[in-house]
Amino acid sequence: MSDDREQILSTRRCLHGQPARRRAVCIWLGTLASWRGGLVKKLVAEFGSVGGVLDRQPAELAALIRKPGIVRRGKKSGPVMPAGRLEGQRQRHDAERSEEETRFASVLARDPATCAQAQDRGPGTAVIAWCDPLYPPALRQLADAPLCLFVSATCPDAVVAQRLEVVCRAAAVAVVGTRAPSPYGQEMAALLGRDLTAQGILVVSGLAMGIDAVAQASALRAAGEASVVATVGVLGCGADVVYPHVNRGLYADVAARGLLVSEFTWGVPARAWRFPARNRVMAALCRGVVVVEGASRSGARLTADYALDLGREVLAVPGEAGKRLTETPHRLLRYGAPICESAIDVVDAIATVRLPEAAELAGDLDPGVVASLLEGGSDCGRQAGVMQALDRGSMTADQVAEACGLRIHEAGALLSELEVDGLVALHDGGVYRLRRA
Amino acid sequence: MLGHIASEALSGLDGSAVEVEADVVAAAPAFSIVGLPDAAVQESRERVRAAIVNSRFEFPSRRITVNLAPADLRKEGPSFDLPIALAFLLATGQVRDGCDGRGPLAAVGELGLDGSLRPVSGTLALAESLRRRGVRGLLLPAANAAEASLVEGLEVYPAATLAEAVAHLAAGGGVAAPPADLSALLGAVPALDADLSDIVGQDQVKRALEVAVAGAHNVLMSGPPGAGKTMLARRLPSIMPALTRAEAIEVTRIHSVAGLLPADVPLVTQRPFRAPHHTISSPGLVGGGGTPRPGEVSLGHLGVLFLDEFPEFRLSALEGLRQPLEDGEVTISRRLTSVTFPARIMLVAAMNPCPCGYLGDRGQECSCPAHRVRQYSSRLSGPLLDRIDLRLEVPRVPPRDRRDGGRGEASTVVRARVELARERQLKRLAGTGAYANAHMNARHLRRLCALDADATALLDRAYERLRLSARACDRVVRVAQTIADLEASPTIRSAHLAESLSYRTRSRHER
Repeated sequence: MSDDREQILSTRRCLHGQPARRRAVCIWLGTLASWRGGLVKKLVAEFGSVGGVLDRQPAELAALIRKPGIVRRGKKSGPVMPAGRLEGQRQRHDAERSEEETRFASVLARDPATCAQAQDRGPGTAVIAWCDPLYPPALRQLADAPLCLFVSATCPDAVVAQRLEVVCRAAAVAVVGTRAPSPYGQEMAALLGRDLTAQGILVVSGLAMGIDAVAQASALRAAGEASVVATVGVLGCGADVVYPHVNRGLYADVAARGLLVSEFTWGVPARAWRFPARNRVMAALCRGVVVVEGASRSGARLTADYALDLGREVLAVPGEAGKRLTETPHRLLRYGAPICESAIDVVDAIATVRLPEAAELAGDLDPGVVASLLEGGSDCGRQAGVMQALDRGSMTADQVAEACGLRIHEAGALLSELEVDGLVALHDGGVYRLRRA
Repeated sequence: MLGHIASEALSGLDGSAVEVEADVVAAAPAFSIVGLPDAAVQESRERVRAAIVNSRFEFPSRRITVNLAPADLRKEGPSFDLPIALAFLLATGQVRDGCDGRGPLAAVGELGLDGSLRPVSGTLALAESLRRRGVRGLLLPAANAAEASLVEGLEVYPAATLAEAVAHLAAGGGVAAPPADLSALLGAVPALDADLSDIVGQDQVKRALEVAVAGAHNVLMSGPPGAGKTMLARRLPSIMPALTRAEAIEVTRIHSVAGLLPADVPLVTQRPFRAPHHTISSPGLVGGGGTPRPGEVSLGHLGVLFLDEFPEFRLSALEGLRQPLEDGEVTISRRLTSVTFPARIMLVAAMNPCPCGYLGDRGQECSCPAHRVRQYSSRLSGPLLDRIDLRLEVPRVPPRDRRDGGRGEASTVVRARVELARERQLKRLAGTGAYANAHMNARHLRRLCALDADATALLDRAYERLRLSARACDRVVRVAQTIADLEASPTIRSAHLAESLSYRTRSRHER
């Protein structure tokens, strides 16, 4: 174990001279990307990987972003708005766009360090950069991963961190669907929200009207007082913006007992292009997506497509034949998606989904964090050692004992303690897994 | 003329006195046996007649009546052959009782047609009962002599044939068999050929079995076929404390009554390991039959009862296990009798996690639909599972470990630790009637088990987070107490409790 530690420390000295600097660049770019879709994708295409982007000097990045044709958005040739009644709407649209352009330009002109500082909104909020240990490892699988997440909840900072940790490790499932569900769709969403929560699965959704809201409200009711995170809302606007307004009660409840997450910085308004982006984050965060109801061109279908691209499980709730609202789920079923009639179907289906493990992306973790985990022979340190071992893959107690050089009864005791703390789960076959799974 | 001799009938493990009387009168030739004889006793007429004739005694053409007193006790089995023959010979004056006020002799034994004496079952229980009643000596088949001579204070006269038995009777005894040397018998226990170190890997299961044996906890092992469940279970007797003198006698008594004592072994010196097949009937498992006989739970008394394919057993048989697991004995009631057999077993059950056996296995896919899996484990009822403190997952050992894995400790090393832990338990449990942690009830737990502050906090958290039931908590504490005893710790610390928590499975029936 000590060899590992030496190696990690020396790697840290060589490669990451200024992690704080890197983090600031990360938050700065993440803020920029809130105002301009596709920015991260283009930067990653230019420099090969997110890590590669972060290694660049801010001035170089700013120059590149300013260069027309690279990421500069040209004049959009959208459908020509007819005159007359819609004239007002068009004007409003243009005004909004120019407002966003202004905000973008002002952030671009700022120094990353001051920008990163300015994003700190005090208690109950957090900004998680791509290079932070609390950044959900599953999101790193996205080529254009959000460079930072803006997180908000009405609770002390320590609790926010605790909730984030659970989100990083928990088995999450997104329940998505139309904004205008049938009574049957509502019933199924409520059932899934309740039963998935009862099964210890974290229900994730977009806090939109309809299926999203029903599923999350039901998850909130089902989650016991003891659960750290009742549900997670992934937003298509800033995490401090309530949209849609009818959901303000639910928004407050999720903030109180769950977590509001967004890749868009504070105060960003909801815009059409941000919802597909939000859906891709939702798909990446979860092990599976359940589509309850949705028309053929719907956000739910987009979420399902993203999930399939990422190797997540997609399930569909069957509905009535020939109805518009069942087009998306039935299309998924036709192409082989597992049928979802109850939470048990979901539990069975996601059991085989494997999210990328943190160790596979370990090069991206701030090595200081890993090193601190290994410190000391205390119980806490040994627990961390066990978790590290499990990070390489699930193991039986025997294998953990061998990997960590522990005696078998010590390994069993440590694993039980971790299980009680909700960090590790015992599965069939006596196999222990880290609790993101 | 009249002849009579004492004998003994067995009901369960208890004997009762039977007086065998024979009356021979000059009347139309007949041979009848009265006094509630069963078929085997009725048939003894033919064996007795042939044995007498072939031993060169006379069988006169008279009316012969044999009475087995008391007349309202049912007499069973062939062990009355010898006393009937002797009573007849006394009645016809062919032999004279030579006891002459030295106290009577009793006789048991089955006769062959040639006059040879065949061994009978239950000799030890018979002999003990006779001694308790103050009978001086016992005439019996030579093959049973070693077993009967385990009883101190009873003269044992072995006879290979009817003629030898007659000679003993005429002499009022003669040369008694030397009393058995119990310590020598117990000291010469051969080493078991199954040792814990035969098993490669499975360290967690081995450790759990050590804990189980130390506290006499029942165990349920769940794992895919070929994981080594049976092999592990078979090695349990090798880590159990050696049988004490009294325990050895107790086990021998039951095995003898069941007729399972091997011919050349007078004393059972090793803890029993019983592994009945899952098709066994309920009476076969817990005991029963018209004449109550000990079932497998009693044959496994003070040893291991291993039930492989646990959910495949008949439901009636499994439910029948509840009472013996609770009370440590089985009572079988019949119209005329009620018999109690001891049944203090360590239950070791093994099951596959699902009907196909590969649920959770990392090499092979499970092919069972989810509802079949639920059905399979739901065959085990909550009250039965409540009696099982440790639930273990036994995964298959990966091939690499199978080749290079450590062999671990030898059974003797583990057994030494187990014996120390048992001593500590006995001290703590003095006066409760329990002899091991597994038998502590909820009240004992609260009174006798001291959890330190950390352990209490951990238990509270586990109760909430793992959604344990109150009973599950009790189980966890019981096992933690045994772990503390193994470590010689006066209090249960959080490490003990946490280890105890690891001996659970994820299964639905856990809660």
